[in-house]
Amino acid sequence: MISIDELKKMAQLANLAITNEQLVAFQPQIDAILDHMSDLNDVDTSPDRLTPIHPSPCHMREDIPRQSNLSPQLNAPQWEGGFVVPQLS
Amino acid sequence: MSVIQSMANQYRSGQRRVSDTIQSRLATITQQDPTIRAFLSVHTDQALAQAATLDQWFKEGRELPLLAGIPLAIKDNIHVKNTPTTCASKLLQHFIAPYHATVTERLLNQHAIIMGKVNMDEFAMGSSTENSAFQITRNPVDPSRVPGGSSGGSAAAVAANMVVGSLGSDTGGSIRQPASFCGIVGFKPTYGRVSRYGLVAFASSLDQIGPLTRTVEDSAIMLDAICGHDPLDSTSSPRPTPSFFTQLNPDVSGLKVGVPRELISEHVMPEVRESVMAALDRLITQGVSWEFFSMPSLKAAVSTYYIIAPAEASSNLARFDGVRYGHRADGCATVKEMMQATRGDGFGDEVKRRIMIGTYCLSSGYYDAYYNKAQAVRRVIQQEFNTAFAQYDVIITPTSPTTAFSIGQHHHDPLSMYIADIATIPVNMAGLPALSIPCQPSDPLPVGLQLIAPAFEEQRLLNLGLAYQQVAGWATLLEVHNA
Repeated sequence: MISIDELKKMAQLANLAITNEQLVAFQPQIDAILDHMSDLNDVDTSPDRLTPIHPSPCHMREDIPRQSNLSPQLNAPQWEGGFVVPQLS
Repeated sequence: MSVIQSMANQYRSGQRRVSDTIQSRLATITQQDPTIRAFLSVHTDQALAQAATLDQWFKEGRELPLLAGIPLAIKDNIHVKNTPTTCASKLLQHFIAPYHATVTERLLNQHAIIMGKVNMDEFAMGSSTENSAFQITRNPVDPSRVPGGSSGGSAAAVAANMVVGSLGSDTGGSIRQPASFCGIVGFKPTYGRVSRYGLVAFASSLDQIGPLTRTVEDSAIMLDAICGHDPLDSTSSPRPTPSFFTQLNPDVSGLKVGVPRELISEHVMPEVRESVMAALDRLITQGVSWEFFSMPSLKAAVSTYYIIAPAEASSNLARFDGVRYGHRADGCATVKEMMQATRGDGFGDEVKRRIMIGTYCLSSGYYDAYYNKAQAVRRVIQQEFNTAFAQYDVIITPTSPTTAFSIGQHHHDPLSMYIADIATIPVNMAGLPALSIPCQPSDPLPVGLQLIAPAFEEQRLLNLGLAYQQVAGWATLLEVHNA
């Protein structure tokens, strides 16, 4: 069973401010979801059950460093030699 | 008959002006959307201006693509340059897309008219469109019920005749399930067939964009426009794309269909099971044979998905930190505090729940037990599909085990809503194409029939879908839903 403390830790790791009321509401819901996931153990995933992966027919381009096609300014309307973001209040 | 082709013929013959179509659809939006609430933004001025230009071009006798002047809607997680992309989240409420998604660009190159952006579950997390931060979309067939999700706005806008077609995104069934609930056609292409460039990522190994339309032919026309390699998406397939529309052929005799027992079990509503069985009987009249078979790993598909998708989401949504995009919380002393408060204010409950589950499954103590195990089960699911396709040309299931449920029915029990994705999730796990078409005019709610094919066999699905559409008497179906 997942505890409120574990949920608090997850929220912290995920950079989420969560209220105590939310934690209390989420705890039984997330617990039920994680409990349901135990059915994964019913599936045999031993190495002899998994067939080897064949090379994909999708060809990736060669991994060679090169100049990007896109300038970062294109995706950043506010650009002054760097991304302009609002100041911290 | 294709709605798009019929409209295109009328434009070419001068029987109808694009401006009249657009004005009439805008009137439908004005009349119906206060109840249905499909649209988050309507691009009235751009649509009318584009219509006026197209009318001039048609008058001059210019050769224009089939989609020219066809009113469409776009799910609000796909960029349309200089318009809001909110992902139905408070966090992106004021975010303006700085570029077009590749799919948008391709539709606009065909001179399709984008009428606006449509509602969805926040960041595509949900199966009912109740998780939008802004409004709950209602099912046009029965407004006390949900339209499905997460592309509920896309489905409702088509079903209510506000637009002819729309784009949705499908991570675990988000195109097919709302199509099923609203009685329309929804197509999830093979992973890699359609570029994801400009789609806000939820779970990158599963997400795929696809069309929602009234007919199978319209689905083929929209696929022709949006499919094909895109150098801006490294997961986009370089395989050549055939013209699905011109190659449509309803002669499907000799096709072998497999029906997985696990997906037509006692958990399926009796009326859904009856509709699917009746649909299979109708396919027999077209020379198709079918039999039951077993895919035991399907029972673990929901668990697999609800580990892999939240794990990917917890990573993808880390970028929404108040620094680079959208909403930022005020009055915080440190950057860490600002990020936590921004995400705490900006994300809704379902998004928070999934981010926390994803973070939990990826954390060092649980990674092997959850994430690694889920990836291995995903491989088993893919293998079972490969084995099945050695025997069958197409797999058929109900799209959803239920018909559209009432608004608020699953509000306090997210697990019950997750479990209802059982038939659609395995398709995303294996990266396969799948089509949802209405079984038959059901009384009173539509039932979706899901057709699944091997990777890149979209044409086979469209052909079988068209054959079914013809034998099922689609015109009657549309009449019932328009009533």
